[in-house]
Amino acid sequence: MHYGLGLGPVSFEDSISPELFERERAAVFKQVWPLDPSQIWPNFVILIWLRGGYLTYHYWPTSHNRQLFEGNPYLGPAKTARERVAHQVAGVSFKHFSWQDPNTMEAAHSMLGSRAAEWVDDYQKELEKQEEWEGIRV
Amino acid sequence: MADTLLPAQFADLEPFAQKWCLATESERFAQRLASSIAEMQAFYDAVVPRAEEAISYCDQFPLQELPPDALNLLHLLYSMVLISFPVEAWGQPRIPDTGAAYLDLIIEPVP
Repeated sequence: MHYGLGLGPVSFEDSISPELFERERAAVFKQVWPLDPSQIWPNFVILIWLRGGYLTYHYWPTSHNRQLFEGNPYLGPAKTARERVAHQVAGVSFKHFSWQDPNTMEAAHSMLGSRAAEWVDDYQKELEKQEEWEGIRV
Repeated sequence: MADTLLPAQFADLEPFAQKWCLATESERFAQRLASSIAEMQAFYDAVVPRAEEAISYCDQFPLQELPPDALNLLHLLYSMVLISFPVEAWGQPRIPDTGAAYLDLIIEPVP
Protein backbone atom coordinates (compact mmCIF):
# COMPACT_ATOMS: atom_id res chain seq x y z
CA MET A 1 0.00 0.00 0.00
CA HIS A 2 1.67 3.19 -1.13
CA TYR A 3 0.10 5.29 1.64
CA GLY A 4 1.99 3.34 4.27
CA LEU A 5 5.42 4.85 3.76
CA GLY A 6 4.93 7.42 6.53
CA LEU A 7 7.56 9.76 7.91
CA GLY A 8 9.20 7.46 10.47
CA PRO A 9 12.73 6.09 10.36
CA VAL A 10 13.38 3.73 7.42
CA SER A 11 15.49 0.62 7.84
CA PHE A 12 18.56 0.54 5.67
CA GLU A 13 19.40 -3.00 6.69
CA ASP A 14 19.24 -4.09 3.05
CA SER A 15 22.11 -1.69 2.28
CA ILE A 16 24.47 -2.97 4.98
CA SER A 17 23.57 -6.64 5.40
CA PRO A 18 26.51 -8.87 4.36
CA GLU A 19 24.05 -11.58 3.40
CA LEU A 20 22.12 -9.29 1.05
CA PHE A 21 25.39 -7.89 -0.34
CA GLU A 22 26.51 -11.42 -1.26
CA ARG A 23 23.13 -12.19 -2.83
CA GLU A 24 23.28 -9.06 -4.97
CA ARG A 25 26.91 -9.64 -5.94
CA ALA A 26 26.02 -13.15 -7.11
CA ALA A 27 23.04 -11.80 -9.03
CA VAL A 28 25.14 -9.15 -10.78
CA PHE A 29 28.23 -11.18 -11.57
CA LYS A 30 27.06 -14.80 -11.72
CA GLN A 31 23.64 -14.50 -13.30
CA VAL A 32 22.09 -12.50 -16.10
CA TRP A 33 21.12 -9.23 -14.48
CA PRO A 34 18.75 -7.09 -16.52
CA LEU A 35 19.21 -3.67 -14.94
CA ASP A 36 20.69 -2.17 -11.79
CA PRO A 37 20.28 1.62 -11.52
CA SER A 38 21.95 3.70 -8.83
CA GLN A 39 20.52 7.20 -8.36
CA ILE A 40 23.14 9.49 -6.85
CA TRP A 41 21.88 12.82 -5.58
CA PRO A 42 21.43 15.32 -7.12
CA ASN A 43 21.79 14.57 -10.82
CA PHE A 44 23.85 11.44 -11.47
CA VAL A 45 22.70 7.94 -12.42
CA ILE A 46 24.79 4.81 -12.94
CA LEU A 47 23.06 2.04 -14.88
CA ILE A 48 24.59 -1.42 -14.92
CA TRP A 49 22.80 -2.83 -17.90
CA LEU A 50 25.20 -3.73 -20.68
CA ARG A 51 27.19 -6.93 -20.38
CA GLY A 52 30.79 -5.80 -19.93
CA GLY A 53 29.83 -2.15 -19.59
CA TYR A 54 27.71 0.44 -17.86
CA LEU A 55 25.88 3.69 -18.58
CA THR A 56 25.79 7.02 -16.81
CA TYR A 57 23.25 9.83 -16.94
CA HIS A 58 23.71 13.43 -15.88
CA TYR A 59 20.80 15.85 -15.65
CA TRP A 60 21.82 19.51 -15.90
CA PRO A 61 18.92 21.93 -15.31
CA THR A 62 19.36 25.12 -17.37
CA SER A 63 16.15 26.88 -16.27
CA HIS A 64 12.91 26.14 -14.41
CA ASN A 65 11.62 24.12 -17.37
CA ARG A 66 14.63 23.15 -19.46
CA GLN A 67 17.51 20.78 -18.94
CA LEU A 68 20.49 19.30 -20.65
CA PHE A 69 20.59 15.51 -20.54
CA GLU A 70 23.97 13.83 -20.89
CA GLY A 71 24.30 10.07 -21.32
CA ASN A 72 27.47 8.03 -21.65
CA PRO A 73 27.75 4.31 -22.45
CA TYR A 74 31.06 2.86 -21.26
CA LEU A 75 32.36 -0.31 -22.90
CA GLY A 76 35.81 -1.85 -23.03
CA PRO A 77 37.64 -1.00 -26.27
CA ALA A 78 36.62 -3.30 -29.14
CA LYS A 79 39.42 -5.61 -30.22
CA THR A 80 37.79 -6.85 -33.42
CA ALA A 81 35.34 -5.59 -36.02
CA ARG A 82 32.77 -8.06 -34.67
CA GLU A 83 33.04 -6.58 -31.18
CA ARG A 84 32.87 -3.08 -32.65
CA VAL A 85 29.62 -3.86 -34.49
CA ALA A 86 28.21 -5.28 -31.25
CA HIS A 87 29.17 -2.04 -29.49
CA GLN A 88 27.45 -0.10 -32.24
CA VAL A 89 24.23 -2.03 -31.56
CA ALA A 90 24.55 -1.22 -27.84
CA GLY A 91 25.30 2.46 -28.51
CA VAL A 92 22.48 2.95 -30.99
CA SER A 93 20.01 1.14 -28.69
CA PHE A 94 21.11 3.42 -25.85
CA LYS A 95 20.63 6.55 -27.94
CA HIS A 96 17.18 5.43 -29.04
CA PHE A 97 15.74 4.65 -25.62
CA SER A 98 17.48 7.51 -23.84
CA TRP A 99 16.04 9.92 -26.44
CA GLN A 100 12.60 8.75 -25.38
CA ASP A 101 13.29 9.05 -21.63
CA PRO A 102 13.88 12.85 -21.49
CA ASN A 103 10.73 13.38 -23.51
CA THR A 104 8.67 12.27 -20.52
CA MET A 105 9.96 15.40 -18.74
CA GLU A 106 9.65 17.48 -21.92
CA ALA A 107 6.00 16.41 -22.19
CA ALA A 108 5.28 17.08 -18.50
CA HIS A 109 6.74 20.60 -18.69
CA SER A 110 4.96 21.34 -21.97
CA MET A 111 1.70 20.37 -20.29
CA LEU A 112 2.41 22.47 -17.18
CA GLY A 113 3.55 25.40 -19.35
CA SER A 114 0.28 25.31 -21.25
CA ARG A 115 -1.55 26.26 -18.01
CA ALA A 116 -4.24 23.82 -19.05
CA ALA A 117 -3.79 21.81 -15.89
CA GLU A 118 -6.71 22.87 -13.68
CA TRP A 119 -7.38 19.16 -13.33
CA VAL A 120 -4.50 19.03 -10.84
CA ASP A 121 -6.67 20.81 -8.25
CA ASP A 122 -9.63 18.57 -9.05
CA TYR A 123 -7.44 15.51 -8.75
CA GLN A 124 -6.05 16.72 -5.43
CA LYS A 125 -9.59 17.20 -4.05
CA GLU A 126 -10.61 13.75 -5.23
CA LEU A 127 -7.51 12.27 -3.60
CA GLU A 128 -8.28 14.03 -0.29
CA LYS A 129 -11.85 12.72 -0.38
CA GLN A 130 -10.58 9.21 -1.05
CA GLU A 131 -8.06 9.42 1.80
CA GLU A 132 -10.76 10.67 4.21
CA TRP A 133 -12.97 7.77 3.18
CA GLU A 134 -10.12 5.32 3.77
CA GLY A 135 -9.39 6.91 7.16
CA ILE A 136 -5.88 7.92 6.13
CA ARG A 137 -6.56 11.64 6.27
CA VAL A 138 -8.16 13.07 9.45
CA MET B 1 39.06 8.01 -56.38
CA ALA B 2 38.24 4.32 -56.76
CA ASP B 3 35.20 3.43 -58.87
CA THR B 4 33.96 1.15 -56.15
CA LEU B 5 33.86 1.65 -52.40
CA LEU B 6 33.48 -1.95 -51.23
CA PRO B 7 35.56 -5.14 -51.56
CA ALA B 8 34.84 -6.99 -54.83
CA GLN B 9 32.97 -9.84 -53.15
CA PHE B 10 30.41 -7.35 -51.85
CA ALA B 11 29.68 -5.85 -55.29
CA ASP B 12 25.97 -6.58 -54.78
CA LEU B 13 25.95 -3.97 -51.98
CA GLU B 14 27.70 -1.33 -54.10
CA PRO B 15 24.41 0.38 -55.11
CA PHE B 16 23.94 1.31 -51.43
CA ALA B 17 27.54 2.29 -50.74
CA GLN B 18 27.51 5.93 -51.82
CA LYS B 19 24.56 6.65 -49.60
CA TRP B 20 25.32 4.53 -46.53
CA CYS B 21 29.14 4.24 -46.22
CA LEU B 22 29.31 7.18 -43.83
CA ALA B 23 32.07 7.62 -41.28
CA THR B 24 30.17 9.33 -38.45
CA GLU B 25 26.98 8.55 -36.58
CA SER B 26 25.65 12.07 -37.16
CA GLU B 27 25.99 11.61 -40.94
CA ARG B 28 24.27 8.24 -40.76
CA PHE B 29 21.46 9.59 -38.58
CA ALA B 30 20.91 12.54 -40.96
CA GLN B 31 20.78 10.08 -43.86
CA ARG B 32 18.20 8.00 -42.01
CA LEU B 33 15.99 11.04 -41.39
CA ALA B 34 16.31 11.99 -45.08
CA SER B 35 15.35 8.48 -46.29
CA SER B 36 11.97 6.85 -46.75
CA ILE B 37 11.10 3.54 -45.12
CA ALA B 38 10.95 1.96 -48.62
CA GLU B 39 14.54 3.05 -49.30
CA MET B 40 15.72 1.74 -45.94
CA GLN B 41 13.79 -1.52 -46.38
CA ALA B 42 15.58 -2.12 -49.71
CA PHE B 43 18.95 -1.49 -48.05
CA TYR B 44 17.99 -3.68 -45.09
CA ASP B 45 16.87 -6.56 -47.32
CA ALA B 46 20.16 -6.42 -49.23
CA VAL B 47 22.61 -6.00 -46.34
CA VAL B 48 21.20 -8.18 -43.55
CA PRO B 49 21.77 -11.52 -45.38
CA ARG B 50 25.37 -10.41 -46.06
CA ALA B 51 26.09 -9.05 -42.60
CA GLU B 52 27.71 -12.16 -41.13
CA GLU B 53 30.02 -12.51 -44.13
CA ALA B 54 30.82 -8.79 -44.03
CA ILE B 55 31.76 -8.95 -40.33
CA SER B 56 33.97 -11.99 -40.98
CA TYR B 57 35.63 -10.13 -43.87
CA CYS B 58 36.44 -7.15 -41.65
CA ASP B 59 37.66 -9.48 -38.91
CA GLN B 60 40.55 -10.57 -41.15
CA PHE B 61 42.27 -7.27 -40.37
CA PRO B 62 43.31 -5.59 -37.13
CA LEU B 63 40.52 -3.15 -36.26
CA GLN B 64 42.83 -0.12 -36.39
CA GLU B 65 44.39 -1.16 -39.71
CA LEU B 66 41.37 -1.79 -41.92
CA PRO B 67 41.99 -1.16 -45.64
CA PRO B 68 39.75 1.61 -47.05
CA ASP B 69 37.28 -0.79 -48.70
CA ALA B 70 36.92 -2.86 -45.50
CA LEU B 71 36.44 0.34 -43.50
CA ASN B 72 33.67 1.34 -45.90
CA LEU B 73 32.11 -2.09 -45.36
CA LEU B 74 32.25 -1.59 -41.58
CA HIS B 75 30.56 1.80 -41.95
CA LEU B 76 27.90 0.12 -44.07
CA LEU B 77 27.30 -2.33 -41.19
CA TYR B 78 26.95 0.61 -38.79
CA SER B 79 24.28 2.02 -41.11
CA MET B 80 22.54 -1.36 -41.09
CA VAL B 81 22.42 -1.21 -37.29
CA LEU B 82 21.00 2.31 -37.37
CA ILE B 83 18.23 1.64 -39.89
CA SER B 84 17.24 -1.72 -38.41
CA PHE B 85 15.17 -0.01 -35.68
CA PRO B 86 12.86 1.98 -38.00
CA VAL B 87 12.62 -0.91 -40.45
CA GLU B 88 11.95 -3.66 -37.91
CA ALA B 89 9.90 -1.79 -35.34
CA TRP B 90 8.66 1.71 -36.06
CA GLY B 91 7.84 2.11 -39.75
CA GLN B 92 9.19 5.68 -39.61
CA PRO B 93 12.69 7.23 -39.61
CA ARG B 94 12.10 9.21 -36.42
CA ILE B 95 12.16 7.66 -32.96
CA PRO B 96 8.57 7.56 -31.68
CA ASP B 97 7.54 9.35 -28.46
CA THR B 98 10.48 11.75 -28.49
CA GLY B 99 8.42 14.93 -28.90
CA ALA B 100 10.48 18.10 -28.79
CA ALA B 101 13.45 16.47 -27.02
CA TYR B 102 16.68 16.29 -29.00
CA LEU B 103 19.72 14.11 -28.44
CA ASP B 104 22.97 14.25 -30.38
CA LEU B 105 26.05 12.03 -30.31
CA ILE B 106 29.13 14.07 -29.41
CA ILE B 107 31.92 11.52 -29.04
CA GLU B 108 32.21 8.10 -30.68
CA PRO B 109 34.98 5.53 -31.18
CA VAL B 110 36.94 5.46 -34.44
CA PRO B 111 36.52 3.32 -36.47
